[in-house]
Amino acid sequence: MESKKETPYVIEFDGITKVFNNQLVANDDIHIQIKRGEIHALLGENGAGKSTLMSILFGLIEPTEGQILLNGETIKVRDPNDATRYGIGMVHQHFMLVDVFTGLENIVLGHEDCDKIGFLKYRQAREKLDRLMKTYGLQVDLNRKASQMTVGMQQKVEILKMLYRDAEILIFDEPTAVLTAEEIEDLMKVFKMLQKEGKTILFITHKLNEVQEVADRCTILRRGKVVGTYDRNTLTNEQMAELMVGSKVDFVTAKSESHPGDVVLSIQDLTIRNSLMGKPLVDHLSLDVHEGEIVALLGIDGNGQNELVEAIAGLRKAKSGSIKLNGTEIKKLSIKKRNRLGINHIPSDRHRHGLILDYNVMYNFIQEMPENGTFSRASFLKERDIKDYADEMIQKYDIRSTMGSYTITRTMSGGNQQKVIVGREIERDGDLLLAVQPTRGLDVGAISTIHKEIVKVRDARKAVLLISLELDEVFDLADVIYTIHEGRITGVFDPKKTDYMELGLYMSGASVQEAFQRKEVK
Amino acid sequence: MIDFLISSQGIVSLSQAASIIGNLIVVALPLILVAYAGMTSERSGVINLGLEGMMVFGAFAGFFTLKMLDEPVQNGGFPAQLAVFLAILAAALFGFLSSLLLSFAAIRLKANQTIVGTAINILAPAFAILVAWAVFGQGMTAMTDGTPRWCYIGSELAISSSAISPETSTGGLVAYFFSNVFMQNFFLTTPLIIALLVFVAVFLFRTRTGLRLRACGENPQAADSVGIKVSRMRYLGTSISGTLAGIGGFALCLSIGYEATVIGFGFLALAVMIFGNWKPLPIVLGGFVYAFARVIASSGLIPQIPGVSRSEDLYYCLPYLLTLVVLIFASRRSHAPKAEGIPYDKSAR
Amino acid sequence: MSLKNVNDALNAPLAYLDGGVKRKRRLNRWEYRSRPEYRLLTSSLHVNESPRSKEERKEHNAFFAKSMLITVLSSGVCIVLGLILGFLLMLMDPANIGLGIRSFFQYGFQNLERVVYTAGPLLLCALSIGFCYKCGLFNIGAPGQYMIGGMVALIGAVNLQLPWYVTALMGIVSGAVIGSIPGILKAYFNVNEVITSIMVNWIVLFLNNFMLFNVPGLLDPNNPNRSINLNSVHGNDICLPSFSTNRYLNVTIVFGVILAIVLFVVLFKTTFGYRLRAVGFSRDAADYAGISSKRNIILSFVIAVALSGLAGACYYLLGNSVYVYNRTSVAQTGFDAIPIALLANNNPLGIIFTTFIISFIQVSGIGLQGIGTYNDTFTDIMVAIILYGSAFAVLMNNIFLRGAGLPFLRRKKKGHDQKEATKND
Repeated sequence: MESKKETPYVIEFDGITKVFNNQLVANDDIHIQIKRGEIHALLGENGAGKSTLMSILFGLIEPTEGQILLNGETIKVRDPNDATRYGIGMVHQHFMLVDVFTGLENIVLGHEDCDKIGFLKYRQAREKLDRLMKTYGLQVDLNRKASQMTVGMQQKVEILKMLYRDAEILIFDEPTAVLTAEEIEDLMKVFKMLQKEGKTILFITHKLNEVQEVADRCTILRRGKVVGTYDRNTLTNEQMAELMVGSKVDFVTAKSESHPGDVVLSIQDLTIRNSLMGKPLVDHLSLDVHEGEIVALLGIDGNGQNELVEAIAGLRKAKSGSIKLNGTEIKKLSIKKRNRLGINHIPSDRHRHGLILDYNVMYNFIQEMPENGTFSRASFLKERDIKDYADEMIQKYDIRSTMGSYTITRTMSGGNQQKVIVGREIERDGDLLLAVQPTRGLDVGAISTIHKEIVKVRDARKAVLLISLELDEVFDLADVIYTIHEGRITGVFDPKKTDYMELGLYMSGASVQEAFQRKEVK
Repeated sequence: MIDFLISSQGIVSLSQAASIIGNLIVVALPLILVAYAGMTSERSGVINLGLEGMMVFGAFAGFFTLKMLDEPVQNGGFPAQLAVFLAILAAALFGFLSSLLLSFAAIRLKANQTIVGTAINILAPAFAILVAWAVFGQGMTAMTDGTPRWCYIGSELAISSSAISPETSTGGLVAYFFSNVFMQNFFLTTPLIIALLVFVAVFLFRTRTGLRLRACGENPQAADSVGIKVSRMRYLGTSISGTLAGIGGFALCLSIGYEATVIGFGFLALAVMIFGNWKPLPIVLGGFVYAFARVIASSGLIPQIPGVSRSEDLYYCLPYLLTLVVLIFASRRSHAPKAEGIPYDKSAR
Repeated sequence: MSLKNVNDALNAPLAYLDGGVKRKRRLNRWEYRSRPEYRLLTSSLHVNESPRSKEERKEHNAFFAKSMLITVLSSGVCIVLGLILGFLLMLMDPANIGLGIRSFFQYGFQNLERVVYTAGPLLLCALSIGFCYKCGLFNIGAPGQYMIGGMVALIGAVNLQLPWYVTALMGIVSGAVIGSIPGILKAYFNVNEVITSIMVNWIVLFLNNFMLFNVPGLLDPNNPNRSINLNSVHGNDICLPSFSTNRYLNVTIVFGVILAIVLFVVLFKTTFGYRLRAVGFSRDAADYAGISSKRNIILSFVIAVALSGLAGACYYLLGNSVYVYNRTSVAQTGFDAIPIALLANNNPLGIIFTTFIISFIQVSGIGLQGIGTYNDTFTDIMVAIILYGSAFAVLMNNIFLRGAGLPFLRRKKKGHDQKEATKND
């Protein structure tokens, strides 16, 4: 009523509770108040309920209980159209862009100008966008197709999409996860600019430094509950981490000194291209992995590390260079032969590559080697042995499902699916383990189990190549860290002698000299 | 020049050319229209393998109407072209109704689109024969005895082709040529299809709804996130598709004759669509290439292979063989809508 | 780490890691091949071969019994629905409906021999389609494979006067050669196999017409639109062996049943079947696991289309039927087999049963002829409705199997869920 202008809070979450399928509590009685014109960070681990909460605010999910207040008045957001009407905009973690549409078409989609008959008119939209681009420093080529834009540009398109709809409250779901260091810096500038123009920003993140740098206040969520809302700079990174996880965080897992031996995987001068003329995804890259050591390849997503692993595993053809496993050239071998020579591979896309989702769990445990003597005799499957093996694995890796070994894998949660893959690849005999984001989507307990298993794999004299986007994980596991940028190795580090800052510089592709200078300046 | 054309050889080839061009157009246009139908549906994210069946539904409804109006028209009590127009409406309506079978199953129930399409293909001829027999008696599959003469546009005009003499002048020659092309082959559907092709292309690529519809075929999640109702757009796409296919089926059968089948044209249209990369202009080009292969094969212009009887059967293979070859090359640069054939699941966003 | 250190490290990578550890003996190629790919978790897996507890066995059996039951249930619903809707259509001629339905069933039950006769080729074609489907491919080209198989077998029998087992083999091979074209195109160019299969169907139709008129001696001299009756061809073992004088009971159905059992074992009990189904579920995942999707797609297509070829050969070699010239439609048998396979959820053993049901409906449809305005296209409508329903049957199965549908499956799920929920807390 009259309180509309009086309340300093633009958005209030009042007792929001969301329960999925009557069992999984994603949000539990959430109370948060967002001040008008502030930058508010939402901090928490995977599965803490941040994304669910934002989806509720944006009308993608309906809350089980509780209400949302806008300027002190209860509102009901049933779908994104409602949200837009209330001036709420959202940039999703996976951008919602149509690849074959131009930037302009993507921006106006759903809110097109047109004449009486229904023909599209772009002139007004173009004028408005030109104005917006100037005001906020968001320069984008509106005529370029989304598929031909860099990730940073796509994000700008997404931001323009919100501004075009006159959004006052801007939600960002992990906006920096896919950006380079420079792009992140730009984004932070844009945040400040938006704030200056009176917009309210809500952003989800894992990265503590960003919170310290740009957020006015932050709210920490843990397991669906609010731990607390804190003002800027009242907490240290360590304190924030502790509040997020709920216990003292031990950043370093206990592990013994590594004793690397022979070279297991040797990559020389490897080049991978997507198309004949395209920019190389992996560019004359050389890398050695020894037995008994964990080598981490650290880089921002999309800098060639996935392609490199696919080339080693055989899913992608390499253009030139050599890949040697135990001295044998494997570049031209089939995937099956590579598996037999001892490559175990935890793939990055578990739905596409790692699992046959319509098979039950026990069949997924024998995916690579159904004709192995343990599980088949004279090409007949030994169901009983497969089931026994699966049961043991389920026990060992604490894989939870409705029907045990018979559960169709598709019906399981992402975390449990990941455990199936990780368990299978760790237990399979081999000399080299390619682990791409092995703990993605897992909770803290599972992460530490899998980390221990990976260290065990190393101690069993195997070689491990770890690809991770999480610095913490890399520090936790790696014996050697390589940084990769645009398909090239930019640096080699001993994890004990380096820090986040330095690695971040190398990941962003700053040349050695430049990195040094920047460091000096700071 | 005129001397050459007037020589007996010249006139034969002239009338032949006229008949080939006329046939080419009346075969190509329905094919292109049905390919457009496939494009509209797939651009919205639903694979329409039931085009063949929808064409049969449309053709059946159209010919059923023609049969019902045959007597009034013959008696002169009913304008012929109005009857054809009503038949076209009936064809469109039946095409639309049959498309609901697909859209309901594919969008609402998230069933396998390939199988549903196949079911429609089996259902259509059976339904058409069944109703025709039930209404007109045993064995009356074709209902009318070929396409009624009065359906041709030319029948409305007083000029009969024999009245025009090519010998008189260049003007007479041109008139002769065109009366052969248009009056002998064209129906009301011919200009209508051209109008529809323009309409569909403009609708898909120049209007608001078209933009939204295409977004649903490429990235339904994105469309949903900006408040577009994905299932509504997909219903629209499939409905337009069915309507066009119904009209296309009727138009095709007007020129090749109706026997409760469209002899694989629905699938040829899909191939034309793939050949045309889901884009309007290349589809038009592809449609003419296919129609040309077919018209040439059945025109009797290609010499019989010596020592072989009925070599035209080999020529009939040509459009289909062409399809296979084209599909191989088209697959390399395919721009199929990314989300086609995948039911949209709101909870998976 | 200072700039100097970084440069050092870049120049001499891993120099600091030179801790000498004992060298591991390299295995040669053959040793790699023979070594077990799985480290055994515990020794129990092999030593402890004690039979499972009764309870566990029971649980296992109950689980599969339930999923079987669901398949049968959802298929049954489709069939009954198809029949009812078909009969409802007969209301177009309401005066004769009672007589119509009565003679429909009467004819079917009085001509069970004929049901078996129709079922033979249908079964083989349905197995072909089902097998392909398990590998993720929709074999709509069965009509073409059927026709070419029949034509080649006829040519072998009429012109070369070869015994039936040789000509049947010729039919199988020709079916496999023609039919595998879509498989190859799918594997190497990722072309939609449905469209290519349809194209091949039409090509085969015209090719057959061409052969009918150009292979000497194939045409019936009395009726120049069809092939000569096999009974008038003299030679040993030209016709397919049969167990009754009207040849309705013949070896086709025996082949079908035996092959169904073989295919069932291959699909569900062998590593080959494991790989085929893996490719069917997900090409990418199969490739990742070292299962070549290209090879398996082509292989499954060749095996499947050979079955349709055999179906055609068996049908035309029986001597009861002749090949009739036509330009407008391809062999209906190949299409009728699609709902049969889908109704059985593409399970070869299930296909045996669904074949007989559909075959019964088709034969019974003949009984409608001559009654009022009814005709046997009623059966086509019923089949189409059943096929439409079976598109959901596959879906229904999956939903039921995931335990979301029926109460007796839910009960068990709940128990586990509670356990899971408590673990999550």
